[in-house]
Amino acid sequence: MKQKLILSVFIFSIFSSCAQLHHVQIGDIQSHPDYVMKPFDVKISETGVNLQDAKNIAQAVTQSEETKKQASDIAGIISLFQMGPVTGNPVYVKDYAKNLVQLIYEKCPSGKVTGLMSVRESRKYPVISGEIVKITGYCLIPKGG
Amino acid sequence: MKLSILFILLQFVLLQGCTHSLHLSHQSDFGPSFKAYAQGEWVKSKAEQFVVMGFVSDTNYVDIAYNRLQDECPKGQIQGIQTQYSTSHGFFSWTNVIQMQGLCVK
Repeated sequence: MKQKLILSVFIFSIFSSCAQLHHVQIGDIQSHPDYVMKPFDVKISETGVNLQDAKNIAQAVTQSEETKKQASDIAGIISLFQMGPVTGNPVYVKDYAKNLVQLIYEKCPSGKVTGLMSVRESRKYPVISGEIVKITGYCLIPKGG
Repeated sequence: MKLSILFILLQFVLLQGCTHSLHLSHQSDFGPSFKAYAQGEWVKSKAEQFVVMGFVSDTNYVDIAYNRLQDECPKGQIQGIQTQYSTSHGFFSWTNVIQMQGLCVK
């Protein structure tokens, strides 16, 4: 019975996720009769870690009160070293979105880019999350070119 | 007992790194110049604000980053500017960071 319950919780954890939008902004949209607008999107994602979730799961899987207390103490100590405002979950990689512009140029080497929409969002799973930056837009391509 | 201590120590080592949080990443327009990557020069600027126990310094750090970016391209146009606002977390303190980069077209 207990094994079935743990299996159900495990399956639920694997397949359940939530998306959370933090910020969205759109730029100018320009069209030209001599150009075709070809849509593109680029995305960069980094793994975020939710310390509170990790602590809760560690406490749920152990029976020992001492271990539960230790897990709580450890989470408390770590959180002292991770103080500051957060959007989504904290990540361990600095500047993970710095190459987004290069990715846009790969999609549209001419630089004739318009209708850019910047999205900052999170995909949340138990303990971890995907901290995502996504850009969608249009590449202007000459008609018949 | 020994195993649980080892597990907790392992957790501590794995999770106790420096963490960062990206709050915003905005991509500006490529017009009106619409130049290819090779037709310009890549310019960057960065400014930081150190916060300790909630007390802030350098309250004009966004202006500093903006002015630095302009200084990098004094006689040209900057297209496709990416602006990132993030925080690097620390012990009872944190650093807010503004980074800007774009293509300087002359």
